[in-house]
Amino acid sequence: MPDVIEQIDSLLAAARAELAAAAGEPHVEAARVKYLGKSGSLSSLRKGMGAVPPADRPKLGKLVTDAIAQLEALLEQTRTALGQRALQQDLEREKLDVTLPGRTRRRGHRHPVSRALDDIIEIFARLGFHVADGPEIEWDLYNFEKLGLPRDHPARDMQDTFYLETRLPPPPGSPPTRGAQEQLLLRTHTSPVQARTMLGQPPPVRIIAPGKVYRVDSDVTHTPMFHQVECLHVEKGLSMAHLRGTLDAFAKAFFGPEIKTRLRPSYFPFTEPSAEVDVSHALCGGKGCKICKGTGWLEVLGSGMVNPDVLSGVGYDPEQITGYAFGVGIDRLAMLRHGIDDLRLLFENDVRFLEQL
Amino acid sequence: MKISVRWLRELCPVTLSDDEIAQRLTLAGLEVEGRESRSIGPGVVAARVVSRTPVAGSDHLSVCQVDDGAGTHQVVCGAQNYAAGDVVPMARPGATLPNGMQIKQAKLRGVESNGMLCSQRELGLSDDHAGLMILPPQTLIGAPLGELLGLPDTVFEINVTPNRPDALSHLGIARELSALTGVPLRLPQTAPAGEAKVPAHVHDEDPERCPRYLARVIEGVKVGPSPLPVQERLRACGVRPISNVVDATNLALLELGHPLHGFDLDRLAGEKIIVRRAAEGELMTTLDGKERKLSADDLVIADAEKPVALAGVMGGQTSEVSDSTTRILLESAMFEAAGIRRTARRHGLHTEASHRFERGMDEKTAALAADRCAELIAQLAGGRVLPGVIDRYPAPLPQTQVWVRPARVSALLGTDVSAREVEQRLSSLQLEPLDGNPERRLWGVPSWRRDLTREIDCIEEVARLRGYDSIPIEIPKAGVGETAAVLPQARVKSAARAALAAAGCDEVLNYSFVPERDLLALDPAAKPLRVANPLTVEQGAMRTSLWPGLLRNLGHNLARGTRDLKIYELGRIYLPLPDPRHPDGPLAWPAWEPDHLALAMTGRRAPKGWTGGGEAVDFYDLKGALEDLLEAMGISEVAFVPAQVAPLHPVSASELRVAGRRAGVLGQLHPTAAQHFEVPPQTFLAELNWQALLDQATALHGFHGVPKFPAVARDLAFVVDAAVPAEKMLQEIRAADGKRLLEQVSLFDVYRGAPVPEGKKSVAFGLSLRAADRTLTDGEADALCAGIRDRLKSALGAEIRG
Repeated sequence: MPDVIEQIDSLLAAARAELAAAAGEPHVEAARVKYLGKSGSLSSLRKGMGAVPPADRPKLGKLVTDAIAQLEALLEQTRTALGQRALQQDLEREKLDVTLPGRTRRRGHRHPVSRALDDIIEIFARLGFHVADGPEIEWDLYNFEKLGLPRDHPARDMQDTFYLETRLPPPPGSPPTRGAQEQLLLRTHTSPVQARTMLGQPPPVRIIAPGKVYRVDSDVTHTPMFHQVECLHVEKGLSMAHLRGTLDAFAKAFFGPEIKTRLRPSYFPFTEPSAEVDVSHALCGGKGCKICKGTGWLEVLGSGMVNPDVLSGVGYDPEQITGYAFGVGIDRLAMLRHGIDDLRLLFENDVRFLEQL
Repeated sequence: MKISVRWLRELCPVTLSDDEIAQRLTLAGLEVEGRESRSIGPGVVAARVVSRTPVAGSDHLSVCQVDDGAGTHQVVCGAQNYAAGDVVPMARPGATLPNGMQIKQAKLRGVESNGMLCSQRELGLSDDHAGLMILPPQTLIGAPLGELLGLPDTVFEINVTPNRPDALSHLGIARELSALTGVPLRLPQTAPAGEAKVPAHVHDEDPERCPRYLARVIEGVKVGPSPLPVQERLRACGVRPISNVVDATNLALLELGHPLHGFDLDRLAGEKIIVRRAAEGELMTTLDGKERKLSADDLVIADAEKPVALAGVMGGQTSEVSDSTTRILLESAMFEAAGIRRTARRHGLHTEASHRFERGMDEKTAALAADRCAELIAQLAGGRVLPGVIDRYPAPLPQTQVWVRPARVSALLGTDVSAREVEQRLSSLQLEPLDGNPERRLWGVPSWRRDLTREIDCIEEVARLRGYDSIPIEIPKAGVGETAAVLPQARVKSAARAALAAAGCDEVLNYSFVPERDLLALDPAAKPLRVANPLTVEQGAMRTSLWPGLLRNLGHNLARGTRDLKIYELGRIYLPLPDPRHPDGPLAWPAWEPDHLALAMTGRRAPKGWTGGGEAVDFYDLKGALEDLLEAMGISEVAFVPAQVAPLHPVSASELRVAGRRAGVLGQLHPTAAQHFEVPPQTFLAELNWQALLDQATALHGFHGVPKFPAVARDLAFVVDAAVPAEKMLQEIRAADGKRLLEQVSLFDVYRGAPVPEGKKSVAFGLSLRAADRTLTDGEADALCAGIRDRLKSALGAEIRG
């Protein structure tokens, strides 16, 4: 009897050692066959039960059964452990290089001027302004006459005009020309939309008119075509305070809440009083730098109260109705916003420029 | 205009600093745009050249002995325009010139030099660098040059707006400064005219174009250079000193703002001045030496025989003041603005005089200027001002009178301005109260303020003087029923832009004018609107297509090494046709300016990466970008149809139809056009009519429910003639679906080559079948597939494959 117990113990010890060293399923299976197979060591013990005295048989039987159970649990544990190890190895093998570049698709970029334009339209929409449209190829009547700029007015020098070769009969009310036909021009500002809108509807008018404008000018700070937004608000009871309020709200929405605005008296034929509008220079925090010529201010737009002559010219009564208007150069605003230092970049359309913005 | 602050302070003796003056003027609407400080340190003195001998071995250097009052020094000098005995500026060793140059003892060509003789440019006085500045012979030797010239001074560059011709002078700016500060003006000395006969005759034949003509005579003048401080004052204002008489007229012009002209009275035939229109084709030579052919619209000043000046623009050579002149006829006239503008334009002249007359001068200042200038001529050139004056002024202008209501001032400025303040401000500008009461007062406007004709003009003056900073900030109230509406069109536009960005397209913006040859290269029949006065021929024609711009952009980028390009532009083209959107009436648009959207692609679809890429873009990249765009805009009824499009390659030229109507074209660029624009032949282009897209766009889609029953998937492959378009097969498949079970058809394979017979292709479709109200059975699916098979066979001769 003690012999048998010893034998069981040593068999178990041997099996443990073998399984601990098992590298894979074949080893585990070999151990199972060796100890628990039909002619396995533990199975043989059970078969040799006949040689054990009957009084010891139940006890011995139990010992063997326990040993078999122990061994079976051990086999299972080993299998699980091996399985996990194998999975682990597989996972290690499949590991990706997460530092390789991802699969991207290049996105296109907006042009800074059209983006500024859209932002401006949105800001003014919130302030209750509708978008109005007008032609870029215009009549003298709407580009100049209706805006207080008759022929031979010296202020026409401020806006050197491109003309087209085409001549057509001008609309009624046009100043007399040589012959019945008049040369078409490229609008020098978005202001003709003011005249067209007011001629087409009674007050109140609350519009912005964005678009391209043209002047015979080309140097470091001028391109022959550029973009403007015209803003016009005509209604009973409007004052210069409303002009300041609208400008200030616009500047803060466009450049940032810390921006300040300043009005300076100036002259435009279609407004009176007229004002140049400066905004504090965001880049230097208004302290003064090279871009703002040390003043801390940047001139960004021209504005004013609508000239009473313009109002009566479109059939409104200037004693009853007042209004304010301003025109913004969008190209310059876009340049200021992005820190673009060369105007020519805007129309070269170099992709290396566009994709930075 | 340039304003000497020293001169300004003589006319309005304020105690403010230069900075404060600049700030006050700027905030009152006279913007000080630039500043120049003029000063010369004490180390630069007047010195007499005692001797001048050439330096051996140099072709231009001289060694001079120079007396600077303290002793004689040896100075080497490279200038050529002086001789022994001349008085010149000398910078002593240790002096610093305005350009920062430090003067040291030095050796030039081995010769010792103890200082430097200076030109005007080296002293920062003007751009003149032709030689040394030569000082008058009687100049005090050893005196610091700065003191002799009346320096230091500051010069403001003031931007005077076109409505303020009265401010184009030192007096004009001084009046503003006086109104802003309350410091009274000090008017300059004049030689007032009395009653006496003048030895000349003036006939004004055109009082409309010349409402006033004044003439005074100064006898016994001696023409010569002006004193140094006068010369400096002119130079500071950008005017070249010429001779004392001419300098006096320029000085009076800069001081009072009124243009004057001095004639040599002895060279005026018949001692006569006739103000008249030129005869058509009449010739005269102006002071700039140019012979000019005159028009009958030009106003001239003539003597008994010939024109002697182009009135208000430029004098003539024949009566020019010369060294031998002794009798001066001084003209101070008033010319009508528009006429001067026409003459100046016609002859391409822009002078100090025409600049002012075009803006409108003041008939009263004309008299003051005559008296002041006569006084200045006598001061600078000696001689005697004859007491009489000729004054042709047939219709004196009445004073302008304006009613002003303080309540209106307050209403317009959005802040309370008292009646007292309005009166004080207007009085400070020398307006006179004439009539009325505090609620409503009549004001007489001074003659020089021709811009003040209406109440609003006076309101602006009050606002300007009190400062725009005093106006409060107020946001206008939203009107009743107004909404901050973003139009659905704007939403569609941003959806379209987002789709284009996702397709990798960069947005470009091009000039609306293009070279006409670019338009013709794409369409030989193009008839664009032409610019009459373009800056260059490259900007001669209004674009009738966005393609020239895009193709030039591709070329520009390719030339700079960027090879993979996808770009788009959304903008107007310009057609010489009536605009159908604004057809009639006075507000009609004179040309048709439809918005177009154009795309251009060339290079690779995506750069080569470790996961692939590097393939060249082809027609289907372009088409795919358009399909994405159309989907984003909610446009569903779309067809791409082969079409003839001149500048496109026949292999893929096609037309986009939206709801059955042509909405644009697309395809590969024709090789000939590719050559013209210097872009690769593998360039793909589309141009769409934006309005046609907008008309079919859907800003918001309705919801149709999520399917409740499962779909059945079937794949079908056909062998068909290679020429059969895929679209045709799709149409037949749909036509076979009588029970509307076909939820989706996708074309997933096109194959040519063995085992498919020559001239045939295999096309495979994936079908998704679904019924809205039940689960489809296999039998139903099979029946539909059989129907499709039969239909494709009978309609297109297609055989089911495999």
